[in-house]
Amino acid sequence: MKLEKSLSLPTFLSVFLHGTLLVLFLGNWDFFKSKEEPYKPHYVTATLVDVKPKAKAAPQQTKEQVLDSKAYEDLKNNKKQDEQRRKEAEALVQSQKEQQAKAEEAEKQKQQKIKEEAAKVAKAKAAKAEAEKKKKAEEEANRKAEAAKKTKREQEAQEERRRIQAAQQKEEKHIADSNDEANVKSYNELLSERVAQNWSRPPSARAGMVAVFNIDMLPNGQVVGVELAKSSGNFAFDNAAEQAIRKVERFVEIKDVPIDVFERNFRHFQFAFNPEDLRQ
Amino acid sequence: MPEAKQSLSILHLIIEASFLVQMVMLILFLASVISWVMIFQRAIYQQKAAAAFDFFEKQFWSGIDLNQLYRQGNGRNEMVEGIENIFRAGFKEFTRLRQQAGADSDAVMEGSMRAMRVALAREEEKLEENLPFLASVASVSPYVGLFGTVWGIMVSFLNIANAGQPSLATVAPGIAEALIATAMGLFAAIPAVLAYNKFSARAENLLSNYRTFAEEFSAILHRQVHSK
Repeated sequence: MKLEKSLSLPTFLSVFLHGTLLVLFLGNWDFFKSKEEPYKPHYVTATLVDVKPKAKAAPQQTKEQVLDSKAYEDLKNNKKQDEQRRKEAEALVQSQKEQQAKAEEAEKQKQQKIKEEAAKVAKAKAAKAEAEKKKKAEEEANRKAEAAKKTKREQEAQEERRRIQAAQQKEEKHIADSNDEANVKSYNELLSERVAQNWSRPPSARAGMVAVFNIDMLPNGQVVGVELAKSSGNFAFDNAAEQAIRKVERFVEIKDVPIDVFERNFRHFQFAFNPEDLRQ
Repeated sequence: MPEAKQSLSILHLIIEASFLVQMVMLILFLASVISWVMIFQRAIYQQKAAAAFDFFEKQFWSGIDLNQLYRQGNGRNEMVEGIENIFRAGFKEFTRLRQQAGADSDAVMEGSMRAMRVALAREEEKLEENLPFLASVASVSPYVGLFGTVWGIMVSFLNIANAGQPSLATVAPGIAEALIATAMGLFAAIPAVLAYNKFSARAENLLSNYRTFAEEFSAILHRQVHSK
């Protein structure tokens, strides 16, 4: 009984102490966390800076798209003109053929007449025939020249069309490339940032040292192969850079790269490492 | 990334810990609670005993009649504590032996001293009660915590080995979780060590005071026996 009496107060005190300690500890942790949260937006803005190149790239794209549509309209107009030209040319050919046929018929009739009246006047006949022959030859020459002109024109039109198409394709490719280039550049910057974070600078590293690596990467950003492609001339620098790349191990940002861009630029790519915080 | 940061609260770590580590934590927490119960109880008891010793010694040396002093304690038999028990045991035996006819003065002295020695042993037991528990908590709980930590780290390393993708982000939570066990062990052990040292020193101090008092009291009794 005496023991119980003497134990109740200490038990209460002890449990109270532990309870308050627990509440303070876990509660404090929460306060600490909520205090820390206001800093987070800064981080968010920091990552936004990296995204900016993309944002810049977007308006470019729209501009070029506008250009693109203009070019397309031009092309359409060109096509229409081409078709018109072709039609005209065809009409010309047909009319010429008809003329030719008429001329031939007329010729035949004339020849028949000449045969019938062969005996009449041989000299005049010969002269006439020669004149006709001359006419014919002239006509034929005209025809040929016109045909040649026509074909030439058609060829020119086709060439022009081809040229326009090529230009368009070139333009499209250029747009895509410049877009990708901007992205690739920003991602390359990201990569070198990440590598620089994990990099421990060897004392012999000097400014201007560049080590080029062949990197194999998976679409999730996992680095599967690092190989020195071009040494910086300093063994320690090369080693440190390679270790830094291996340390990064996974470039989380690469996940966001569209797969075609990834395949083109990051599946196997060359990565030049030249950190900026080097001594002279 | 922010999700990982949010999940790293201590409560979360404790909840996510493996069963064995949780058991270790529970044991250490209970050990801490119980040792603090002991600490408070010892503190209260020894405080009371020291106060009672001071009070009784003052009364004893104030020139009061020993019979009257003895009778004062009769009324509050339950509340008698510490030094007074020794006095009562010795004085009771002394008066009883003296009332018996033909009792030898040496035998009377011997009997009263033995009674006081027994009472002293009881008081010693009371003063040092629970101190062994504090000593074992102080010495064992760091090891228990260390065991939990070693186990937790072992498990987390095994998980890493199975995942095959070791990075600081995968290693850190497991180790942090495991280290909580060590922290709790130390949390239980440090107050226990301090309390054990303090209370054993205080008990020793009080006991030496009791012994001195018993010697002084037996000297008084001896004078009474041999004065006739």
